[in-house]
Amino acid sequence: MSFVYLDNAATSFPKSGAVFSAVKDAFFGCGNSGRGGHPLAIKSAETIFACREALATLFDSTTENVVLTSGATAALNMAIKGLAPKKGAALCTALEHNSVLRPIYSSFPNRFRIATPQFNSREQTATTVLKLLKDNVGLMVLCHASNVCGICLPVKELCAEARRLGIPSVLDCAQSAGHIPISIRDIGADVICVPAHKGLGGAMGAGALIVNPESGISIKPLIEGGTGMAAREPFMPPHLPERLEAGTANILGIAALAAAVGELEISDKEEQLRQQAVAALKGVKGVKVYAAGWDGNYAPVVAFNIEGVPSDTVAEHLAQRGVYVRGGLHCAPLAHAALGTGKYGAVRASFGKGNTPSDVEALINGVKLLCNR
Amino acid sequence: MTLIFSSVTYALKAQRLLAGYRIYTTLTRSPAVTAVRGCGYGLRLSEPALAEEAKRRLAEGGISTLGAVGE
Repeated sequence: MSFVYLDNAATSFPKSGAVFSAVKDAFFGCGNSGRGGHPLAIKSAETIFACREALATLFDSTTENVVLTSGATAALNMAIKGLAPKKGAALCTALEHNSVLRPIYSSFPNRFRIATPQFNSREQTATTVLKLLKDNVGLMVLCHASNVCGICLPVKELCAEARRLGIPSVLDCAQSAGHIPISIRDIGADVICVPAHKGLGGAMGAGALIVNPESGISIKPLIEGGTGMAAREPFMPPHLPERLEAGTANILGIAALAAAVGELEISDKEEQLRQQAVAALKGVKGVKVYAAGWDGNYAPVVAFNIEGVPSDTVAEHLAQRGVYVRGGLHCAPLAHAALGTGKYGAVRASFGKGNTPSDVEALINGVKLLCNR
Repeated sequence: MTLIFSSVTYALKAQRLLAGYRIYTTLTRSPAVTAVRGCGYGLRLSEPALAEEAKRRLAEGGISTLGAVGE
């Protein structure tokens, strides 16, 4: 059965042939990086370094500041727990995914602040966050783009103010990486966290924590162990990236990520599809589109509901017609609460590089069919 | 002559930089490096006579070495 895949915010699909070839080459040709001097170990080390180079170029950092992780969730946990001060609160927004919220809840018990965005105003949202930022905050963690409704927070202004106040800033770029150009130096964040398998087009099980070369932060390791060097030292090395990379690297995922970034082309194609979907959905009687009046940028995500129909029912109906979207809460319960969809969630359609305008039309036709029942 | 680095990442970064100056090296995990670092990586220079230039180029590029050993 042919299908239309509109769940790229969960993971991009399809992956490219080059990514698959890279995984295959690594599977059959790589040893354990940093654990030997034989050709297979060296090939692995070079594969990993090539991935660091690709990510450093893409995000405007340097190779040694690219820490490879098992995904964005791991990177966010490492950043939040490794930067958590003994005093001071964590600041985030209601848009955050549980990969931010849960580490904050556990690392900052009873000392976190959550800013609720104004879904029609970038400026008012910035004002809300900035007001809380001055309230004894020791760490700011923000999503670059919401995984529910796609709105992009005014991160450059917020990170600038955080830096002025001496507060480390961490950005969750799970939904923006690969869709929107990101320069960590231009934005001014101290850390950005990215997954391999979403907009970047890599495989599951890999990601990166990327440190701003102009930042002076030091992240305490969350996991300690072998690094393949300085073995007599009792503690993890002081320098990145190995300081945060104990254990054997996921060479398959890393090879895939390097290949994916190597062929990545960022354009406004996905944004055009999002706009097409929003315009068409707004024209369907009984459909409500969320956060459609934001006056800033978007990641290629649209959230909507059909009046009186739970989002998972809509998603199931669409899947039966070969249109794959996601219902529910998207691991972002506060975002849904803020949007007024806290009980049944919303339907999320998210676009990737493999989508075309006809895919949007298939979505709209499926939604109309359900609305007319 | 082998230059020793704090990590395989820095060794590979140094290798790229030196190659840009036509100073060619091989990544190594030789006993000499291990003796100094307790496991680690170094770059073995194809032409030992270029060791001083290599050190200078690395310093200019902001890459520090942990030392050099003759093998």
